Amino acid sequence: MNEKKNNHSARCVVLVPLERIDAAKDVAQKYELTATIEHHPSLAMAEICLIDKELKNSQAWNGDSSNPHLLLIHTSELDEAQIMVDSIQKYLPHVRISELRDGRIEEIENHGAIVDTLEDPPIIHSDSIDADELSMLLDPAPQKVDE
Amino acid sequence: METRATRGSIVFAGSFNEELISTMNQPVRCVHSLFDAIGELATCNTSDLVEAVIVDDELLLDTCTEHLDALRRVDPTAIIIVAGSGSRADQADGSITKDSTAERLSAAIVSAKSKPTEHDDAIYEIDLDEVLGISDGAKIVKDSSHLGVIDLVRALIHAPASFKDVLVDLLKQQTGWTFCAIIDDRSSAPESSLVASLRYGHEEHGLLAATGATKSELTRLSRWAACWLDLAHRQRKLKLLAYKDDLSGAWNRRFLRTCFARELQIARDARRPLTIMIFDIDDFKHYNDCWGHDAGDDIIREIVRLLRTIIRRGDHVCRIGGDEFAVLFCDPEPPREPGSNHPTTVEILAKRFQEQVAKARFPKLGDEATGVLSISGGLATFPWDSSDLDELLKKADQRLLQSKRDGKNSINIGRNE
Repeated sequence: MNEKKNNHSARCVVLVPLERIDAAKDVAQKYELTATIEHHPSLAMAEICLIDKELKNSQAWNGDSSNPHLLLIHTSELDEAQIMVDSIQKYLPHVRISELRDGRIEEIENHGAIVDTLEDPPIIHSDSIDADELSMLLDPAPQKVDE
Repeated sequence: METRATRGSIVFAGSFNEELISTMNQPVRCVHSLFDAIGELATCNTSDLVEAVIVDDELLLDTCTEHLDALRRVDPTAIIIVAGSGSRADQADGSITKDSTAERLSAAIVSAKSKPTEHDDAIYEIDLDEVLGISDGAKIVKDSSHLGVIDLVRALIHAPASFKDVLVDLLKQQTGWTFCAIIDDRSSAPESSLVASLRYGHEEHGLLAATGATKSELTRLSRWAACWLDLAHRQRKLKLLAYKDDLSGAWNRRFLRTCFARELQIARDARRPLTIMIFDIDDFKHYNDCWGHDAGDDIIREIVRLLRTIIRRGDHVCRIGGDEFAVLFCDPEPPREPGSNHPTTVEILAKRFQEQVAKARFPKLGDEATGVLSISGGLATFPWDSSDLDELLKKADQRLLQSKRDGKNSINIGRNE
């Protein structure tokens, strides 16, 4: 539970169609979000802008570096939701935007990667090189130009 | 003394003709969507504030209210002008046609800025009866099967919102007309009905439509009905004058006490919190003395305008003294749970308002036009601070004084007491 809270505890705006408000309340409770619920994309963007401003003001005083979080729930049913996302990414690129998919919160930027179960990036092993190759790479001899 | 320029940029949202944009004599930013306009408002810096947003009405679609609310929420000081056919202009600060010139647009912005804030009578009329608790008589009057003139008087006093309905019911009972209605235009009357004007002196109160009436009977009774409607109209106006502050358009001290008592009872019954904020403008006397009472009046009006853009539906702004204001935050919070704390939403709203005042522009203050005005305030919340109206007012006032002692420009919420 603590892990969930740590991942999503920043000030959050939930954009959800009015008729799906129960889903928003469930998610807010499940992930212990400090959430403002909005039903229209432009009002959600306005709220994100205001929260961003408040967080920046408080950062100046207490060094807290959290960013606002926008959570989209069933927004395919809302007109202009994608235009809103584009605008937020353009003007406030540091805002975390995620979406509720199959009951889990997934980051939009990561093309659906699940935030809670992100794995370490893979390490690529290349063939080892010998001493001669290394010296060639570090001190390449000047090549003669054919006349 | 030279007045500092307070003009900022103009944001054009949507498609506009090149000529209009190129002939503007102040910085212009063009964006394609309303969301980008919100972004421009949110990210502009203090040296280049947005003075106005010009919105192509094709961007507003069916959700005009929400879009304009969003722009106002982000920056309540920016003027919003809608460009287009004008059908959606009533919710904006002004309107222009798509083929307007730069001069015309500038004139619309100036006109919107100088608009007084006290023309929201329609909102007050809806609020007033309900807030003051005088709409309870509606049921008593409507239940009566044999209506008389006394029922009209009762409706006028106790249920003004249902006055027209009672008047129509009474006409139907007395005449036996099969149809009777008060309408705004002839096209909405049934084909079989006769229509007469409801005019009393110079005042028009709509049209009376009736089926089954003779012409002379309708003319006589429409005069009688117009007289009653005029009386109701004047009664409403008097009531507004009694509860409204004429300068700012905010509610007055009398309203605050009446409304606060009622809202406190509702909050008790529903186990909901209720917060009152009292604030005043720091060093208001200085601005009055230096720049004249005209400038002081402008500050008062602008403060009320800013507050209205920030508060929620159901909250009330009152001017309770020269530069002293009270805000009653009545918007229903969820019912309290055992061990719950003060509501944070109200604190956020109060803080936002304080920020908006700090960056507001007051052209009549000359050199001091931008960024010097500040407010000090105090909050008190039922039930945590008290359950008594006078105690809550006293507590909020004490916290306001504490804010002043602490160096002004702050809102004391009483957390550290």
